[in-house]
Amino acid sequence: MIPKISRYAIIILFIVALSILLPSLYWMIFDKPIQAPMVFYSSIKKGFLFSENRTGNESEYFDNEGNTYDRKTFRTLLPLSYYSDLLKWNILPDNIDGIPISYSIIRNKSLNFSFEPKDLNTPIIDLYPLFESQSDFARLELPGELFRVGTSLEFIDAETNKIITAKSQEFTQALHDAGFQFPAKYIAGNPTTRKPFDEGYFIIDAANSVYHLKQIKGKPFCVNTGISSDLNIRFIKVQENSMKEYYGAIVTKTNEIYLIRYNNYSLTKLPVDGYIADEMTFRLQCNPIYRMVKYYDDKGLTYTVMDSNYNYIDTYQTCWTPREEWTSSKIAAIVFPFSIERKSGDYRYIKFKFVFTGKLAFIGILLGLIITLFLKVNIYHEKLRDNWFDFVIVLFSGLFGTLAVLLIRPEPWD
Amino acid sequence: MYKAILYKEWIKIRWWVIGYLVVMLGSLIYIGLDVRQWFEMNDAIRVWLYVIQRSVPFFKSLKFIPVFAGILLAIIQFVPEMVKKRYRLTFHLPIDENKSLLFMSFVGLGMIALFSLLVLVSLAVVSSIYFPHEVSAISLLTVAPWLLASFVAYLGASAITVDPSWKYRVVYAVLLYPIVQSLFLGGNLGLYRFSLISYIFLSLIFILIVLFPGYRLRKGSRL
Repeated sequence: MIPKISRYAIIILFIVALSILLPSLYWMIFDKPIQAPMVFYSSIKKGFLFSENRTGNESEYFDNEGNTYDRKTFRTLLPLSYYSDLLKWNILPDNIDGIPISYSIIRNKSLNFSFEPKDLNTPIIDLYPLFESQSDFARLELPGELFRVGTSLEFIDAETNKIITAKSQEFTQALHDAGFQFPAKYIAGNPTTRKPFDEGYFIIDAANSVYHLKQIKGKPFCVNTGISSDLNIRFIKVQENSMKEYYGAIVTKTNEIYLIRYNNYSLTKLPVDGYIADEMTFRLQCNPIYRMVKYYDDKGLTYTVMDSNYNYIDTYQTCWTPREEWTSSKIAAIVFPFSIERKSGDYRYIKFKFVFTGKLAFIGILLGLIITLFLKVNIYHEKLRDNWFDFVIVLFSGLFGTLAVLLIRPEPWD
Repeated sequence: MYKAILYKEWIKIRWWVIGYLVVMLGSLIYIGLDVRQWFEMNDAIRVWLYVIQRSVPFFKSLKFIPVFAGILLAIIQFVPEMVKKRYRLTFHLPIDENKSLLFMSFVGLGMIALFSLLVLVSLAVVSSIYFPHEVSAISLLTVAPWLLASFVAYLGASAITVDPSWKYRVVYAVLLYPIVQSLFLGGNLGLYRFSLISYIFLSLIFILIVLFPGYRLRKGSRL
């Protein structure tokens, strides 16, 4: 009995190994890149433009109405994206719709702000540097300590690895005075010196209120932002920029995105219908005239254009054949009833996740049962009654199981 | 009887114990000196941020040592039994063959467990000297799958060594490779936070696998 159980232990592990190895080998051969068009909004034509790599290295440029363009015309229709080219050709307009435009205006008022599923699903060590946000010097400097917010705010000195008591107490008191309830649930900031200035951290307290913490001339600055505590915030990305239009963005657990504005932490809800934080990359592009929101995954893309006050102008949506509908995916679904996913592009953590391939797997399972029965009866002449559990294994694991029970044969049991 | 088996196992593995102890202590000392050097040569805060923001394990030089030690232990423990079919003597002992084989495995697992404990304690000590406790915690979480790999590799290599046929040895190797490799994915801190428990459960199945090759050995199966 025990050696029999041991055999099944080996079979189960072998199936696990196959469901890691075989699907990844299969996709190494049959995977292909997704052909997605690049989408632009033309400030000249007031419409969407596209470029797509269709034939080798040659890109095609076209619009919604079926017009195609050569590369140079295409770029002249997009002065806010290709201003360097237009400047070189001496055709950069000095205004668009009366809004003055120049190389430096475009450079100063253009901004990319983005995050992807990986940014939300990544291990975080909750220790942060608190910069001096009103330094006398031009560049930001690293402090000598990091802070944590547990049952109090603690600064830990990096040289000694000890808590700096006085400063910790001062900042804890400031948070208390602002109404902060320890411990912190979430801390978001932009902990780098490679930014024009510092806006500190947004910290969610135990009561789900959002606080803003900065260090100004060595002293704590701490306020309750008044951002609703029912927002169900999942993720905050802070990105200081010289446009000073927003501190950053909030992603809620219900996949809404809000910008935190400079004007008294008011929130601007972005038009992101159908956005899924765990699957899609989000991008906000700003230029002197428009604000553009784009979110996409391997199934489709949505691109919405707003004016500089975030009023809706136009939206474009497209989708392409999802991976599941490729022929190669359907064959994979028949051959592999499941696979084990360990890494994915959307998730920085390592997983151990059974991914079932759906109804097509039953074809593979039926095939597996037939092959197993045929070979066991006709070739191996095994006693089926002694090893009926082999068929249960195949029933649950399809051709993986077939391979396993045929390679790891039953012994003449005692 | 068990005492006698334990003595026999000890005679086989004592050099492995000494060797592994030397290598492990050496690499732990190296890691300690290396971290000390980082702090000597750089601003402490930069070292902290390097570890915290880039998520770099300061102890990555010991990454593959436990898994190799596990494989080596299986070879040292079981190859002498297979040479000239010495293991068959066990069948004449007044002890169930499964029990004796499992007992031999548990001796090996126990040794690996002791070394794993040594690694965990030493890393906890080194990291708590130089880093805040958040870093110590995530460091132990990071080293855990590497240590788990040494148990899995030991048990897998035991099955490979014990089985009398090459066909089955290949099957066990095919089985072992992706599962061990699964424990070394990604080089950053804390990546196994949610999946470590699944990998531990999967590893428990490995405890049983040496019995089937043992049975095949007794039956003289060649297929």
